[in-house]
Amino acid sequence: MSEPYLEKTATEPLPEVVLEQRSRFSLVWLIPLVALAIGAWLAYKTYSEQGPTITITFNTAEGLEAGKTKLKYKNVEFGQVDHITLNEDLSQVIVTAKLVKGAERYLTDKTRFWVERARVSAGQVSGLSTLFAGAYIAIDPVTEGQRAYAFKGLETPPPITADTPGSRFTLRAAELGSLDIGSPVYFRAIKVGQVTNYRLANNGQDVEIKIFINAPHDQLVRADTRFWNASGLDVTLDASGVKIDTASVVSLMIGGVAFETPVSLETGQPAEPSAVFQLYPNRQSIKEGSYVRKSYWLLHFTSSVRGLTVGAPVEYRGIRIGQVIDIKLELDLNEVIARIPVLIEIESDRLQWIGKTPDYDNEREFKKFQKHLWNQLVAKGLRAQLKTGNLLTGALIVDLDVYPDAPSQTIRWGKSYPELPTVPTSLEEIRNVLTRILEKLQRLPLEEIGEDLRKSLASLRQTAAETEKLTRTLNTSTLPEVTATLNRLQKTLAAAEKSLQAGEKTLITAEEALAKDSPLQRETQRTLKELSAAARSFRLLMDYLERHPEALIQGKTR
Amino acid sequence: MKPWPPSAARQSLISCLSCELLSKAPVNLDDHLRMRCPRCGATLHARKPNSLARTWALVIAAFIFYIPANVLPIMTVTSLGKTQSDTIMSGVAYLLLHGMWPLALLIFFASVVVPLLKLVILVYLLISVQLRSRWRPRDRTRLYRITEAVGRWSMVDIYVVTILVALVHLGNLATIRAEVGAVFFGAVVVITIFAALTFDPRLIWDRLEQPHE
Repeated sequence: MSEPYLEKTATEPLPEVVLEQRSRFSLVWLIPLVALAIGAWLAYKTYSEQGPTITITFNTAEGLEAGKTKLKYKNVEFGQVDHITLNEDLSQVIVTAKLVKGAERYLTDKTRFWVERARVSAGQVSGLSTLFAGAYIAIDPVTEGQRAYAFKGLETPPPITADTPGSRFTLRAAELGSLDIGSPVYFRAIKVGQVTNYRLANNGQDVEIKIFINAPHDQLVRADTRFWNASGLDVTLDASGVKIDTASVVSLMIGGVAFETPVSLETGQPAEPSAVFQLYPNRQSIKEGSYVRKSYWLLHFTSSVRGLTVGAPVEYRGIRIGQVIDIKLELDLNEVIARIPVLIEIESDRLQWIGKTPDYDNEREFKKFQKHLWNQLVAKGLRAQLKTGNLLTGALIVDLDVYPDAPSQTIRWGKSYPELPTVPTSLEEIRNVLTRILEKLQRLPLEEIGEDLRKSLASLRQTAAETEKLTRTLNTSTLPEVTATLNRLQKTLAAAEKSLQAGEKTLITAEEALAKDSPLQRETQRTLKELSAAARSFRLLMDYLERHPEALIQGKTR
Repeated sequence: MKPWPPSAARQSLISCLSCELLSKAPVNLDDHLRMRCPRCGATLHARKPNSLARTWALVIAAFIFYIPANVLPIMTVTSLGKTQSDTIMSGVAYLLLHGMWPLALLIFFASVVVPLLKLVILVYLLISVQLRSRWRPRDRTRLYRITEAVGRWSMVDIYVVTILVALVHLGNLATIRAEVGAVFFGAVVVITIFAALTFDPRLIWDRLEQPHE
């Protein structure tokens, strides 16, 4: 430590530094420790907040952006789209989304996802906010059900989300008409629900329409409630004028369903959840009744079906239960017999079931029930028969009735249509008529009539003989006299004619004579004057004679 | 080896940074002892105290914070109901996609490259000092100076975020919120600035003056 440099600059000895103990630990290491702690906490937080990852398939990824599009429920963020890929055959889009922590309990097989975009339909405008903010995936969470992580996204938003209180019902209709998902359901023109779905029924004959009625209006649906299609205009033109019936302008455009509960014999029980109802084509038909469920039967008539047409009614004791669908002529080549198969449809809904109601939805169960029922009916003597429906036109109807005396027969459950036994037509009817006539004849008092008849005949014969006699007498005696009388009469008439002619002449002469200035006139007047004088004298004489009748003998006494 | 000019350290002299008193230090200082100024009592250091350890600590802390700073979003822009959170890299990617590559480049350098480069340089300097490297001390010192000078410019990002958050408050039309990522990013920048400060570049030269082993 004897460097020259130091000695040159330092003129006096330098003070020594003070030494003291120092702490071993440097506080600076706290900084990375704190950093580590924060980092670890962040990592833990990120990890622990990691929600489930789900996949949703959509037809299109329109409006969806990986890493940006959110999943929302009631506008609360539920997660975010992570990435979007196509499936193998390029038919669908698979959206992978990360959900927030705790979302698992809402992921069940009933949970639905759909893309909320701006939509404008006739009924409503929705999702306008997505025009600016972009589309998002909406969730309808359902907690009950099987846990699921892969979903099939809906293409359209479900009209009813799981949290809406109300009831679901099913309507059966012959056709969908103008109804669509979202079409309103009206009760007394108040919107109380809407159509949620529709599909072709399993039997392929009618349409099943699912509707949702919001609480508390779902209480209005009773077991005997009638639904009708309130779509469009119902225009009636009759003597009282034009009647236009429509539920609302909205239903004019997008269709609608209305219902009401008729006052009827049956007391209205509240409808069971998911009950099935008929959808009638219009308000009027709910009173008439329109029937969707049909069963088809084959009838074989051996007699003539002249007068039976397609559409002819099928009746049971005068109540219409169906109609004729088809009439054909069949030639059986094996037996060389011509047969006439007639296909009829029976609208089973026209029947009011009393007792255990069949389960409409269970197709097999219902068929079994129907088979059993008809077998029983036929065993009791149910037969089909042709009857004259209209005496003037000779139109025939198919009449079903129970003939307890009919020979026992069974339904032939064939491949295509079951065959109902029939009763011979005309013969039966003729026999009935004859029987009736015979019965009446039997009741007649024929013997008495015969007796009376005989008596009458005898007296008649007598009368005839007498008449003959009389006639003969007339011929022999009376007739020549009459002839002579007639001849005389003729002569008399000729004379009379002559007299008349003479009279006529006389009259003409008289007329001439009676002319005013004729001498006869004057003569006559004079004669008449003299005659009246004579008459006066005669009267005087007569008066005298009355007073003095003796004068005639004694002469005038003077 | 060319002889170096004399230095205070080699003369076992130490000056007080508070009262400018030059005093004599013991040649071999015991590790658990601390020097004090005989006149004013201030702690005396021949070099920045505990420089290597402190720098290491800060560099490690900065590295730890660097991860969330880049992974977490630094701000959320809500514009017309559309909400978007951006990390630094997604912001750069957004700018690139929209053709604003000069701006993207600027942000990328200022916010991603510079802090990382600073940390890498500091680590290199620390390691080289600990390994008693004699390689290009002058260039290493220049590297250190650049690091120290450029470090504060990384704060541009933070300033942009804070200014935007303060200015853009238009309700539903547009709102910008700062996110945690910004906090971590700020921490990274500040900690690297401190790390650069605690590093003593004289350590680079100290090794040169020591004789070869």
